[in-house]
Amino acid sequence: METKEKNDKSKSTLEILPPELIQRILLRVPVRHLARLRCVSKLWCSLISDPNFAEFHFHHSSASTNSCFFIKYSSMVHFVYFDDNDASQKEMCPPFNNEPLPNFAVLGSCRGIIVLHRHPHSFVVWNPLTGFSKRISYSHLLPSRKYHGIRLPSLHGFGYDASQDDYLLLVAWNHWERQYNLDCLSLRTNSWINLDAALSKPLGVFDRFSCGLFLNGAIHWLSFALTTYKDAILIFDMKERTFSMMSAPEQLVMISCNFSGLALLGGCLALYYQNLHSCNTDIWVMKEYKVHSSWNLYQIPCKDFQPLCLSSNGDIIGRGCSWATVTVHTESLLPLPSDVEDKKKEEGGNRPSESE
Amino acid sequence: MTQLDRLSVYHWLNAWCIKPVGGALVRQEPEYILLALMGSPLKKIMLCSSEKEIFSVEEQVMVQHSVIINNMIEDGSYNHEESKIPLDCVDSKTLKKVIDYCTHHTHHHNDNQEDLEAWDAQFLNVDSNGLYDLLMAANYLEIRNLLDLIYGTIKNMIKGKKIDEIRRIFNIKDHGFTPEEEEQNRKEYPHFY
Repeated sequence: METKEKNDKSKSTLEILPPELIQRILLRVPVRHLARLRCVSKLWCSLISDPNFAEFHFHHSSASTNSCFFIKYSSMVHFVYFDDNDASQKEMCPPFNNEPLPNFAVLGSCRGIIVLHRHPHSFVVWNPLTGFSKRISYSHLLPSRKYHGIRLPSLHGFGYDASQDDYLLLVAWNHWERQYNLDCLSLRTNSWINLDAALSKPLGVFDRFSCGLFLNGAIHWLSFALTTYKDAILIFDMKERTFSMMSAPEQLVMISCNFSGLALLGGCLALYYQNLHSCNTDIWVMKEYKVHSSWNLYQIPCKDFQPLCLSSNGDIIGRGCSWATVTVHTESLLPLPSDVEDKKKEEGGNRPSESE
Repeated sequence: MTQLDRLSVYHWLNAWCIKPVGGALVRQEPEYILLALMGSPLKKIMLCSSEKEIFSVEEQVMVQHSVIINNMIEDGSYNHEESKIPLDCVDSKTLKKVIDYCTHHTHHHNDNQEDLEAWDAQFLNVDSNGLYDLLMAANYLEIRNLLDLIYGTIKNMIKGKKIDEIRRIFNIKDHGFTPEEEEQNRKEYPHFY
């Protein structure tokens, strides 16, 4: 009799695990597993699909468990996870694979959203976890530019403007007459803004297929010449929509422009290049943002090392040269700004929104 | 020298910023020395399970781990002579385990990390029912480190499992989807099931 009562009592405990406790468990699960957990039950689905939960999860879970390498290889994309216990990977088709000629290039990643350049004249923004994707054409920008054929932007950057809850994509094409056309797409308003007036002088040394690094509310590009340390880094402030410059460390030696770039290491801006004198890779890490004296040098006794990110125990993970594009990608279930409005119009669906 | 009671000692230690908070382990040696000098016995408190079973436990053990019990003692609502703390949603078996956890971690907080982790792993070697009872109890009593431990264990139980298995683990009999929705999910993501 007593045993039976005990069993009934424990059964009722299990069935009524309160939603707050389930939510707290889910907050600890790496975000890439959350997509599948939406299928467990209606309650779990509504907990996970809630944009507030996605936001909370993004800010409170450890970045390294949600980060991976996003690799483009031929027409597929691969996600390589490098957190401690799981060295796993998965393969996915980009959201246009059933079209002919699925050529694309990776432009950037921010807060779980990836931007691809889709030949001939459009960009695709895509969150691989929620499945949401959106194509934006830029062909209307072209006639005035006198271009022909497929041209990747010579400078680009993608970042998040927290003040507007908006994502901005900056693209610049260099004109053969050495004029620069710099345009900016706002994902929230789905409109283009021309930024030529914001540039006080020509892009010049930044104009070489530079990929911007998003950090602290601004996009950063590295000059490819690096003949002088002064004003080596170009910065675009997302909120103010203005440009400024920052200098590299004075001890920078005259270097080759190959295999140089910017990276985000443990939340700090890092500048790396091949040191031709010592055959090392020099990595300068700016420990305190915009504090010039805080540049610290790390030397990797290895050629062709391009740092990508830090592992959870502080090791620098990098890559050698190959043709694959490798982007550091932090996964999330965050929606795009317009995505949230569309969801409000529908009557709460379980499944991710289809592409437009 | 007047005999100081435990509460006064705590207040004195508070003034010197040695504060026991749920989940944080306090260095006990100075306290024991102080109390030994004053000759005050280790105060015990009474916890009462839902089955009306009384458990006597060192006050300082529970105060160090449970925010709820710490608050009760601090604001003076607990009278050492008469009161027992009723815990109506925790049964005897679970309460005993919770007390075991808190006691071990208080007395062994100087052990090395590996030994503590091994003990924790053994401690959580229970069936799903037991685990959930512990989770509810730790949540109610606000025992931070036990909660973190259980969340971590459950998270590892979920990772990589198929949907049907997860439903079994959480005893979800009614998933709440309509037959059409369930079928749609199974068609779209067959590798999840």
